[in-house]
Amino acid sequence: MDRIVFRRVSKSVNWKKLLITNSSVIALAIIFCWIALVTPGFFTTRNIINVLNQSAALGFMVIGITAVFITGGIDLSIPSVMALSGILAAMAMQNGAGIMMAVLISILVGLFLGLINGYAIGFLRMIPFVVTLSIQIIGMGICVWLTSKVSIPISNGTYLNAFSGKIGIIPVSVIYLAFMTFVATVLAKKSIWGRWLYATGININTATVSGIPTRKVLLGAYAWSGLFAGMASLLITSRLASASSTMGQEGVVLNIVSSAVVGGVSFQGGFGTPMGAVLGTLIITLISNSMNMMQISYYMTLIVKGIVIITFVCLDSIRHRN
Amino acid sequence: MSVPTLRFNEVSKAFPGVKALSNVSFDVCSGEALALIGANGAGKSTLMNILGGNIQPDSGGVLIEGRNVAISSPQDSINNGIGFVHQEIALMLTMTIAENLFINSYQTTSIGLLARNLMEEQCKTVLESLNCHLSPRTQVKHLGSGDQQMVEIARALLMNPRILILDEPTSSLTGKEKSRLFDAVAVLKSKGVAIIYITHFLDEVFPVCDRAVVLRNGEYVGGDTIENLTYTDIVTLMIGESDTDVYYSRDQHSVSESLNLRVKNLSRSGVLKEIQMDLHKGEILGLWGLLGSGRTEFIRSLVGLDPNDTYDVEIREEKRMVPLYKRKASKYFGYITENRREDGMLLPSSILDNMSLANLRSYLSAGPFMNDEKIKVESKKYIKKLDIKISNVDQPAGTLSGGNQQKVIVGKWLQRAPMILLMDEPTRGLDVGAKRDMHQIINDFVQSGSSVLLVTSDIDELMNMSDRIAVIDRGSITGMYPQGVSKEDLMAAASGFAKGDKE
Repeated sequence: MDRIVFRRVSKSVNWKKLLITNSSVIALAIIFCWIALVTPGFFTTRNIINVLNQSAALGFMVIGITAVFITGGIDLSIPSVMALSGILAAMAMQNGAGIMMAVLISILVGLFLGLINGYAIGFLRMIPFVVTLSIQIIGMGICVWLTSKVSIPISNGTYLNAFSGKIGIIPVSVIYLAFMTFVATVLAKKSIWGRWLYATGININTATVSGIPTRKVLLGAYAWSGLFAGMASLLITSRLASASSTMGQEGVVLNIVSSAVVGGVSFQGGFGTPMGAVLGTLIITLISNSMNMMQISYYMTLIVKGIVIITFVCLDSIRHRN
Repeated sequence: MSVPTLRFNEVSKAFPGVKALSNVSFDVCSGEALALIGANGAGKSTLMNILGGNIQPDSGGVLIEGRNVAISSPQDSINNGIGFVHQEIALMLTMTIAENLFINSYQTTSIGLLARNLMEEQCKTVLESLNCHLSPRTQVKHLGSGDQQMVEIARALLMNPRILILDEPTSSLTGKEKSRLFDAVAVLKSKGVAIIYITHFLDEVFPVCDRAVVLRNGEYVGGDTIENLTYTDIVTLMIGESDTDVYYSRDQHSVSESLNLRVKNLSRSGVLKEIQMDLHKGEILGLWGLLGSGRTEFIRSLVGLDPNDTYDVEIREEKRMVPLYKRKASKYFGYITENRREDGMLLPSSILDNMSLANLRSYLSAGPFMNDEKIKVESKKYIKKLDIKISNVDQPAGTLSGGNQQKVIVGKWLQRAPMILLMDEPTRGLDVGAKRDMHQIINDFVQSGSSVLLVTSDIDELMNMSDRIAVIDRGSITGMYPQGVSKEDLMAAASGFAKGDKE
């Protein structure tokens, strides 16, 4: 009798656990089904590819912020870092630089600003919110100053093709995102840096006492975030065939943070995976896309997004309580 | 005999896979202090959680003054006159004593403002009743931990409890503060309060308590008035064996002449004063000091976690002593901290993750990638060697008992095989069996030529385990004693009497 009761208890616990740990996958499935049913023209190949394509740049930034979230921090500077990378690369191309140079500039600018964030937070022990907000504002200022609010056209065909072209019907950006998700997942799961990152996020004191270079881990997390913001700029500027300061408005942060949170990356540090974060990105993009197709107003979209975020933050705290 | 104030009647509680309590029955009477004793996992916490309304028993119940009462929430517990003083001090540091006391029962004047004077008056009365003469307006952060403990007790007393539970009340107190606490317990007894006193320190049981009850594996295994019990009786009941030799006695011959570590000068303004100390190969050096003496600060400085003004340290490299640079310190030291849960472990992470944490670099396979198979094999070796009780290696470390958690931490450092292991209170909060295991582990560890610096508040443990004992007081080493020194000498040196140059 005892054994039967025991087994039943353990089974129901597992079921609940399964639900909670895979909440983003389940939510994605539910939202996908619902959207597919109510949105006219959703199930066209074109639209599905469109959604994936729209997710790609956001996905890069979300993979970036995931590392920062795991340390328990936040990076508000991603939009302007992304915009500044794109603008500088576009200006270089205007002056005759080739694709390699443009890519190098984008990546290095992102990395450099990320390192500034990381140094201030890891080594000077400054508060992530304040540091990255300041970098966002400074970056925005530089963007507007460089462009005078005029967008810079990009006409380099190789560049445009390399980042917004297609292989068959599949946009290259989707392939890049898939590849980087894979790289980030392997690093998170299998590399020593991944172990360091999670340990630092779960308990920085334990990590420090155990000889983990926690200051360098923080530096690395923000550098990673900056790097991915730089890479995201490649996808965005090539899709728009231009770079402008409006790419870096603060509103972008809303999408980045909500994607990560919906993807099960915890605000409280220590939990979350790049794979989950990218799934979260797909959910957020799906919502925007389908509401757009149903011609629901922008304001309504915001309300729905807000509700989705709150729901997932709620799931996150339930998960933490368990 | 009259009706007991509190009676546990055949209380049973099972958690999935574990029987936490089975048919536990005993009484507590008005005006008596009852010691509730048991090893970790004996069921004390479960029993107190039932009393506090946090868990419901599967069968059996609680009788208060002969009446069956249902305690289904913490509020029920308070309404039934049960007060708790928890192990961790939970006060609002920036608030005054009076504000803390009335934190959940503010009194207001007729127009709804805070009745500050009334509350301070009542606060003063309660404190006076404990022979504690503090101004109710003092901010709690200015109080020592002894006074903070008094404030905790005063807060519980405000509800006029008939039953008061003191859970490890002395774990953060020094000797003098303890005796004040014992006085307060005597006062409460004289007022007719029934007290349940939970402690690991058996030497406190005899002066404070009238009766003792021992739990083991969720069962009541014995209890009697204190006059009829001896230390050995209690330990025997707790561990259920006749072998009560708690402390490992050191093997004298294992200490080598050559050094592993020489601290020539470690200073930090206002905290550490020119600390000097040698550590031999195979030696266990005890470090004895009162709370706030700088013992933890010394260790943190030594491993490079805290800043220093001077860091002049030499370490053995092959056969020679070479200067140690602070940046490299973590290469040679393992550090077991005094706060297991705060900075010793990653509680939500798996046992494997915890055990490999200090040694990740040696588990690299190619480039930055980890060899998980090797981690598993190595960790399992130590799980076996240290006899860590787990259900599987992916279990979150936070689900283990205190003793097993501590073994996981030790296992983490043994994998690293550091030259010197710094242990700050390695047996705090462990039951007798786990303590003995830990002593055995420490002894085995130094056999290989490594050294241990052992900090402990348990003076018997210190005297039994150490080859030499260094005494630290107010940031300086005030004495170095061989094994066999008397307790009196150690106490004197630790309170600044042996040095001669009193300021």
